[in-house]
Amino acid sequence: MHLLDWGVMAAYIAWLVWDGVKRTKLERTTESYFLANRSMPWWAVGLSVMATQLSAITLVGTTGQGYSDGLRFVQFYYGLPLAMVILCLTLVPFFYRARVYTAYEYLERRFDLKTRTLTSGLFLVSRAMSCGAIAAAPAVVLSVVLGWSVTMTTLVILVPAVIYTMLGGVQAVTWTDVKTMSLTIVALVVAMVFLVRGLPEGVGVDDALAIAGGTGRLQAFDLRFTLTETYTFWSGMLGGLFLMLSYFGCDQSQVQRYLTAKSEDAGKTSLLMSAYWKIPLQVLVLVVGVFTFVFYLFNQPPLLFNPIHDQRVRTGESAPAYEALQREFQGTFDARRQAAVDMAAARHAHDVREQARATDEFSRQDRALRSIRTKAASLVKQTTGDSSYNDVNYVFPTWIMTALPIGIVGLWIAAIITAATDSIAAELNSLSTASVIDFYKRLAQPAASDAHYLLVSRATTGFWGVFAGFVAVYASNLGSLIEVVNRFGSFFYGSILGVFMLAILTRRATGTGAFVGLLTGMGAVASVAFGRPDISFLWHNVIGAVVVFTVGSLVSLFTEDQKIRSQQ
Amino acid sequence: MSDPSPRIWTRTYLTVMAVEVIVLLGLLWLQRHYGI
Repeated sequence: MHLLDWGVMAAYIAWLVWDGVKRTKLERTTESYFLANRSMPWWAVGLSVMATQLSAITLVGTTGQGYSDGLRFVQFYYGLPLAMVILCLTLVPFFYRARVYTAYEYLERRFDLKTRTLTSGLFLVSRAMSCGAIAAAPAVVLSVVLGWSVTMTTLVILVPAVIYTMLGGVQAVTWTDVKTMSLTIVALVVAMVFLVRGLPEGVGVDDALAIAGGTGRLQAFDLRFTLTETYTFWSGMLGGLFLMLSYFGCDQSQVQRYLTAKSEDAGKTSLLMSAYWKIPLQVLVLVVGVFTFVFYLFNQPPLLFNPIHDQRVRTGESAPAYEALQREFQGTFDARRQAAVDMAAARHAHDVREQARATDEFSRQDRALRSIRTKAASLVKQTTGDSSYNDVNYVFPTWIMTALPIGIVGLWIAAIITAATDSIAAELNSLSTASVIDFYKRLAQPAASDAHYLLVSRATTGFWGVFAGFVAVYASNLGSLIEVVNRFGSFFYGSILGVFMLAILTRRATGTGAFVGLLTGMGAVASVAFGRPDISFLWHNVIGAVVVFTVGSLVSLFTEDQKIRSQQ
Repeated sequence: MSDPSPRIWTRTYLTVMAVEVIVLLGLLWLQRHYGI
């Protein structure tokens, strides 16, 4: 990377930290530290909601998905707009009127302490681990791309987040989210401009779309109803709806964003911003990936996008086989590029027969190229012993480092790092809130001064930052543990939604009903996850929510509400 | 922010859903026009 790129990257990260830290003097109470005194404008909250969800994995992994699979992934978000409307009609008004700090605090008011403690505890366990995973995934990719150690890239991602979140609280988190979201959109548009400019003479945007469409990469609808495919129209509309309801309505890392809004209406409007813009933004990210695919039709890509693996195979036992594959790859790439040029020329000449011939030839060469890549991946697996090898996350960073001009590279690397940083900052902020409000203040020290809680809040933010760093650095060793925790997270995501459904949709639901329902729902999802691992995780949310609601309603028929009894 | 009436919110929610339908129809057009 050029010195100017390092400068751009360092200057942007330094500006974020400085701007966040200078808000320290505004944070004198826990209400300002956690909720910005409920004073934030809707547009800043709306951008913060979107930035929290858009992490570095979106910029690196989703563009890679666009490159390899096209637009299919966008179906995951089809249920989001309806979920936002449902939340505006149901949970959001309850949260605002109850003036809570955490979503789980509301559950104690409606049910009892044990339901609040269990849901908040589940949130802490899963979010603390996922916070480490959010740092680990881009840290690994950046360490390969920049040539740094994983520990170093993890620190570059985590330290700014910990500093400005600890000192500046939720205001620092929100305003850095606004900046990073703006930078991300600018970076994506700039990438798109360079990808279009990188098309060869005689191939326009229309031809590029036709070529990508010819490979099935513009398929945004799969109307099959199947429980085993994650990305279909129905799994997005139904499973995605429940997942989004749970994520935006019951997960503190999102609830806390809109609790900072200056009014209930501002909170609702901020959520509707995602309803309008999330799908178009996701399409933009995926289209950047699709155009990266088109770019590499006309510009020779490496056989393996991960340069470390490429180096290891080149110098390992499989070097002769790898060299033979390289030669085969070169020939097939040239034949595919010629077929793509012929397709575009035939389209322009309206020569249907030639177009059909070129399309057939293109598909044949594309299949051959994929087969060569599969063989190369097998060599990597043999050489490194990494059976899950997949270099899709390295495609877009490779394009950034090799195809973008000096200065823009730095801008993009800054965008990737800060996308991870600000997602982590929001998570740290919400972890600290749940720890202090739902546990420390509620169970350990109920009568301390606000200054004491503010101090503990800052210390807790730092603690969760160190914990996330530990998980991220040791992610490769903790691999199976993280998987277990993530799986555990998917067991209760829909189940917690079921508890909130009981709280809002039924007046008869009791605390014991909700608690028993929650445990049963988690058990039901666990049995489906282990018994039928082929069922997509999106359906786990539907199963969890429905089981909790049904069991919770039934148990409530036979149990008394303690609160009502104590009031009588 | 002023307190909009429930009628304005109903209109807002309907607009959100209408925009989603338009975006999905756009994606469907893209798939049909350029797809295999």
